Amino acid sequence: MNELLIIIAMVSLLLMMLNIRKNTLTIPTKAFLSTLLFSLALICFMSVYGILGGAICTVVGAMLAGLLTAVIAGKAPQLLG
Amino acid sequence: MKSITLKKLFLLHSWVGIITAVLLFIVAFSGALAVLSRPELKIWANPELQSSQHVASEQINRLVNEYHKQVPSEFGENIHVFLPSGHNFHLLTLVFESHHGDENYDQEVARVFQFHQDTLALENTYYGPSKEFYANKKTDAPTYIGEFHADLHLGRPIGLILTGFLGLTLLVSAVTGLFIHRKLIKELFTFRRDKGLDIAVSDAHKVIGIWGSVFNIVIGFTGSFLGLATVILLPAAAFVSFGGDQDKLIETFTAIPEPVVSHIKQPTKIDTILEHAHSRYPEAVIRDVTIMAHNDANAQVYLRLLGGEAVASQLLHYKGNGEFVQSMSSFGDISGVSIKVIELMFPLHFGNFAGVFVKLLWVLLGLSTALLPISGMMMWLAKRTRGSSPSLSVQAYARWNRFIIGSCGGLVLASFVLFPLQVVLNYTVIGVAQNSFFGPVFFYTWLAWLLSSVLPVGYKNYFKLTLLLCGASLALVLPLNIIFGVSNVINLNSSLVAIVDISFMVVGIACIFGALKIKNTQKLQAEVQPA
Amino acid sequence: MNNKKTFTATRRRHLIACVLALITAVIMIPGMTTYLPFQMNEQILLPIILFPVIWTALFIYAYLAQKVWQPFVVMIALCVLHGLLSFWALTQGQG
Repeated sequence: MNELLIIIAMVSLLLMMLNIRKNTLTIPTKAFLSTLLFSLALICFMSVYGILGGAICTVVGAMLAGLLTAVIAGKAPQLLG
Repeated sequence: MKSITLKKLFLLHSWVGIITAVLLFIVAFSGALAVLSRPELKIWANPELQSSQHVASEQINRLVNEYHKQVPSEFGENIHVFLPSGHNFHLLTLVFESHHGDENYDQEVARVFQFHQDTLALENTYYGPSKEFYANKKTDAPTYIGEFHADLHLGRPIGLILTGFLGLTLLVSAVTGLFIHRKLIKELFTFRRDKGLDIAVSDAHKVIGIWGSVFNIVIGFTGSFLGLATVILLPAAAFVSFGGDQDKLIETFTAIPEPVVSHIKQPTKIDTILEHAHSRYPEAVIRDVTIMAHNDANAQVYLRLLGGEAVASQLLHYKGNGEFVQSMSSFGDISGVSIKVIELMFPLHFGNFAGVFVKLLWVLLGLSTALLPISGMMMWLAKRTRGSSPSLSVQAYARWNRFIIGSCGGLVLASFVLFPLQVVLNYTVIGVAQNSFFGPVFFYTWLAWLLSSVLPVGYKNYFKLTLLLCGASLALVLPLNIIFGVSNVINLNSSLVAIVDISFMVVGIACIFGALKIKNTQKLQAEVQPA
Repeated sequence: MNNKKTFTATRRRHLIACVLALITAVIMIPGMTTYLPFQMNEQILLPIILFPVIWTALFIYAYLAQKVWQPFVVMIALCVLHGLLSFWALTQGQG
């Protein structure tokens, strides 16, 4: 169960990064989806590692997800302001 | 922000980065490896730990009682039980200490008994100064790398001061880097690997710098604290309140009160206490147990725990009859917010608070921290070869590149070579005698590779050879373990060993594959980027 | 990039950043223990926690200040102030 929650959390964070990267969405939509996905990841990590550990893991996981997204996917073709 | 301020920050960022680049890579890379050193790689490195890291509580209780009868009474003042969890010793270790010495020694002296955790057969004994015992305990490849990360094997305090200051410079680099990068949000995902090496390296530096900024700031902050705390910070803080006596300060804050021995016999229920701790904190690992006034009515027992729901390690206090008293910080019963922050420094730096997944996060981000100074250095060098009158000549550029490969690549090679060495040593050399091999192999490999950088070899070929050798070293581990190891991927005596061996093979093959993708160059001049 | 135009008195800034900033940050630790309005634990541990932040700020300030005398004066003032606070606390303790 813990492994599943960790996978869900990391996938959520990766999706969040892909969402932020996407340039076909407006900023409010991006913000809403990102918040949703981040919260999901936070809940999953907190279920596994407790409140403080979960919060730390979520932030660190987000950093790694962002880095991986940047290195693998690069910048989206067109970026809207 | 004014452009002159940005220019100053940029220059400052460049200077600090160039001066500390190689050292920062060394500390960051060794740190990334050290994250996994305890307990995972330590278990891999020690056959005694591979089958099981657990000893039944009743057996521990029996051994403590049995061997307490064999030592003089003064050695019952403090009894330490180091469990074979992969965090301390490679064997179950009982240390009976007399703080006031005995007829042979005026200093703290210990009588030590070490047992194989499976058979509980007595493997080692020791009698002598406590300091010597702890200083000369058996090491292994991952522990050696972990200790190298802490103080570069330069001894304390010099090594600690150096690594502490590197933490401070990392803080400066991270903070200045954030300010000078004006297009933080726009370039969050900008990484153009098909636009040439210069652009790819520049983008990599910025992307790693942005995404890793919080991590780098935390690592720099905690690293500087951990390096400088005992050497500068605690003595300074003790100056006014304790007349500069750091030991007195530590004693005041962290002293576990000595129990008053009642001379009323009452068995200390070590097994009950261990079982209670396991049930109360099922996810945590008990690292060691300290028993004071063993088998006395006023006996006190302290358990040091790592992991579980608490991020920071904790100390559990029990009475000898098994009654739970309290849980506190591993520094002792200290109140306040500051101690909570200090407690967090260790797990935030080491990433060891929540299992392998979190450690993998720390390893990957740690490796990205290691790549930052290298990419920065490459950007700085490339800039100086450009233009109509470059400040760096072709030969100098090639020499710089070879130096970076020799020093940084040499460290990677020296670290990777220790792993197949560990497998061979486990087969050929027993116990503490292994200690004398790691230093020479590590430093001579590194030195040899660094010295080879003076040879007039094309730096791309040199880098390719470095990668090949690193890959070969790691790839050797699995076949060597099949031939020599007690546990391996064939007999699957230990799933952890099998996973580690396979991981080494995968990383090794990846290095070899990466090396083979680098095109050979015939001429030195051809490797310099066109102006 | 022309370093001479970006920074004035570069060598003095190096000295202030690399030497004086460290001395100032270290002297501030015992000095801060004398006036922080907390219990003893916090009085001693908080300056230790703040050391990296203080040093980093002083280091960067040494280079960013418009004139080189500014960080010099600030750091000397901090050293003197915290040094005196430590001295008074020590002598009061002995007296």
